[in-house]
Amino acid sequence: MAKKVIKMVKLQVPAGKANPAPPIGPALGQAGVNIMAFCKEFNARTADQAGLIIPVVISVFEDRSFTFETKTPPAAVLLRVAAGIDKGSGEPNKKKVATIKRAKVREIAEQKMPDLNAASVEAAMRMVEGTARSMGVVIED
Amino acid sequence: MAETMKWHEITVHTTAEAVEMASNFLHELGAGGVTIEEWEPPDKPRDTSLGQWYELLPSSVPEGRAVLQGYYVEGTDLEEVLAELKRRMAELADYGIDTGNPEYAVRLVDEQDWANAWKQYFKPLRVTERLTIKPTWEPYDASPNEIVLELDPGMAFGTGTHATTSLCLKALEQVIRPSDDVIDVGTGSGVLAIAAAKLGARHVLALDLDPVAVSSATENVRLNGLEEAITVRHSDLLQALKDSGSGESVGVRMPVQVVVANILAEIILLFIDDVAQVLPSGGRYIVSGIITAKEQIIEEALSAAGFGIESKDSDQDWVVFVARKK
Repeated sequence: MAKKVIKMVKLQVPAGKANPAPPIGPALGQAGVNIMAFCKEFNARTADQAGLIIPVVISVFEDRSFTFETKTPPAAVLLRVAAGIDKGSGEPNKKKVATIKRAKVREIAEQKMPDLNAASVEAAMRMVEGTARSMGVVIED
Repeated sequence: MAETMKWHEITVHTTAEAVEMASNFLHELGAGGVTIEEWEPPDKPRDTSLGQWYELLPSSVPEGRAVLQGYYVEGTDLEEVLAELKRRMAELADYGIDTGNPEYAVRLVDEQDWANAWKQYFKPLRVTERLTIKPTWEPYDASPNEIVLELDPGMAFGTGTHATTSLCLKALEQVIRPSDDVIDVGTGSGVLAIAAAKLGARHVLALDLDPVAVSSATENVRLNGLEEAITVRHSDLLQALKDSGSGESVGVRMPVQVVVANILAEIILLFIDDVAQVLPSGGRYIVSGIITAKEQIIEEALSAAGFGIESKDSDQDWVVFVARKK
C-alpha cells in the first residue's frame, strides 16, 4: 500500500497491558486512530514480555490507519534485569541496591543505541550510566 | 449520571539526554505509561522497508529537548509525586546528566471515550459503481447489485478513503473475471483482496511484510466470511513463488490471472520481474500507488519486463496502470 506517514507517536507502556486509558487514549485519540485495534495487537505481540515496559513507535498514515514498531525496553528496565532487582533505589545517593560491570553498561548502550538520540556509543553509555546511578546501581570496572 | 474518571497529567520539559531517566522516574512513581516527544534531526534516517514514506510536521520540540508526559489516576497524591520527581531530576546533575532546567506542568484530563472516538471518521463509502466499503458498526442498506465490503478500518493502510485504494478498486472491478486466481502484493488492510474475492475471484493470495497488516487483513477476511477464498501470508512475492514452487500450498494456482499491487513506486520497481513470472501471457497486473512524477519510470519498467499498458487512470496526484503480459 502506498502509505504516507503523517504523524509518529512515541509511547512507553507495560507489555501486554495496553488499554484505551492514558497515555494511549489521548495520544492516539486525537490522531483518529483505532485504539482498540492497536491495544489488541500490541498486547498480543508483547504478551511474552510481561512485566517489562516496552517503548513503541506508532506511525499514523494519511488515511488514519497505522502500523507500529516495538523497541528494546528502556535502559532502566534492562539495568533492572541485568542487576537482578525489581526496583531502583529511591535514594540513590545514600542507598545503593546493586552493582554491575561497565562492560554490561556498554552492552546495554549498544543495544539501545538505535533508539536513543545519541551521537556515539560513548554518549549512549553516558545516558545508561546516568540511568544506572540514578537508580542506585553502582558501576564497577 | 456517573461522574467521569479523571487523570492527572504531569508534563516534564527536559533534555533528550535525560529522557531515559525521566521516563523511568515517571514509571517508578506509578505512571501507567509515558508519552515521549523528542526533537529529532530533520535528516534522521527512517524506516521505509514497508513502502512507507514520511511527511511529518516539523517537531515543536526545540533542538536537544524532549517533552514527557506521565499519567496518574485521580486520587494519587500529586504533590508528593511531583516533589519526588523534581528531587530525582535535580539529582541527575550529580551523575553528569544535563537536564536543562526542567519545567513541569500538571493538568487534569477528563476520561473520554477514547476507544470509540476514531469511529466518527469512518462512514460507509461507495467507492465504485458496485463496491461499497462499510465499517462493521454502521448500518447500511445495500441496493441489489451493490457489493458491500465489511471493514474494521484503522489498522494497516487501506480504509478505502485514499485515492490509490479507490483507483485500484475501480481497476479490479474492470479486470476480475469469475474463476480468476489473484495475488495482492502489499495487502495492508486486505481491502483489495476482499474486493477481488467478492468480485468473483476463485482464490486470492494476500501478501504483506508488515505483521500489523497481516493481522488486520486476516481479521477483515474473517469479517467478510472469506476465509476459504483468501489466503493471507506474511511474505513477499518472491518467497510465495518459491514456496509454491516447492509444492507448498499458497491457495492460488500458479500462474495466476491477475496481480494487484498498491505500493510506492520505488517498491513496485523491485519486483516487477517476479510479477512477470507468476502471470501467463495475457495475465494482468494492476499497479497503483504511483505518484504522477514516477509515472514514466514505472511505464518504462513495465515495458522492459514484458508488459503492455492496457489502460491508465488517475485521481489527484495518483496513477493506476492496468498492464498485460505479452
